[in-house]
Amino acid sequence: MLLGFGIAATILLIRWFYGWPALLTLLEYQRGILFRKGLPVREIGPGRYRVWTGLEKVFTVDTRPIQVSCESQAVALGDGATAVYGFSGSARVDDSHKAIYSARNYRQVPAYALLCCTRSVLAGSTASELRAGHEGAASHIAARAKERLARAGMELLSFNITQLSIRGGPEEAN
Amino acid sequence: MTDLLWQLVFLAVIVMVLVALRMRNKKRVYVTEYQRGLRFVNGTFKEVLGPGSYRPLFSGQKIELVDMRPQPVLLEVFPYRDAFQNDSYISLGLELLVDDPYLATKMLKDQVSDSISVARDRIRTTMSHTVCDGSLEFAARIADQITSSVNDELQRLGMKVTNVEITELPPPHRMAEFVGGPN
Repeated sequence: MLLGFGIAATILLIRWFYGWPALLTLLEYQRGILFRKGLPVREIGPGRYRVWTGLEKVFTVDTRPIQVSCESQAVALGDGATAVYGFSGSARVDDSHKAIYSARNYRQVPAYALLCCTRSVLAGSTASELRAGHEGAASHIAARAKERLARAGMELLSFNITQLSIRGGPEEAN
Repeated sequence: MTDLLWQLVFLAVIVMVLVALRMRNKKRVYVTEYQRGLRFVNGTFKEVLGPGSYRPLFSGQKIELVDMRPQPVLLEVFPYRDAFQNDSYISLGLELLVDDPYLATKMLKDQVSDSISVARDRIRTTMSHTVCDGSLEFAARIADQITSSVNDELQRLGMKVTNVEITELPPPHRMAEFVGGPN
């Protein structure tokens, strides 16, 4: 009888401090960061894990590609012409820990990085440079976005300029 | 003696069960490394909690969570009137984040959207005192000015901006038209 009470008391004490153990399953395309007492302990991959609910928490990250596409955006070029552009790209989480800390919602980061890089590279180009071929600008944008996404724990998988028309500029004026 | 011991054990178990049942309704609050918790007791702010697992011990206690991670914000083709009263625009990207979790919670219901309104206002005011020459130096200088101007205002609300990046300035030929000035 005393032993029974002792066991019950121990269970209640454990529950008080650690909560109940819960089972968590991470799928093939998911990664997780295990936090213990609020601090990150380790990264966990696909599988089944036991987590003490009162002490531990797992932040799950989806590693499937995040698609970004943007159509018919206008930007003023360096020589006064206007470019109407569109692009598509994709990125995925490479480092879960960095990705979690990069923004409140890490899935917004690829769109932000690609939009910023595209606009700033195009704004620094001239109409004649872009008319000669936009591959250079595209690779420049991709390089900048790649570096920026790497800082946020992400990998740029693809980037394409899907639409680029230039209005105004020296050649059109002639 | 044995009877007394049994009574004590029984009493202890009863107390523990009652406490456990009471605690069942008190949800544990988990504060991760990128968050801060604000402990309020009977509606009064008491302290900022760092990473850890907390359980409100009595009904008057409440813990509010604040996310300290940055929120990227894009302002594209943002219109303003420059120092010569000419219509102009600027595109920029910035990151908003919480500087003081207590102030941010006390002053703003929606920390991101309310701060964006304040930031837009300050950016417009800052830009209205400038005349853009389209140069990279101007872009760098204006990014610093915007950062300090917006932060002066957001500081009162417990927020701040970082990594202000000018992605587009009006083209130089339009600036040449503006150089004629208000006359």
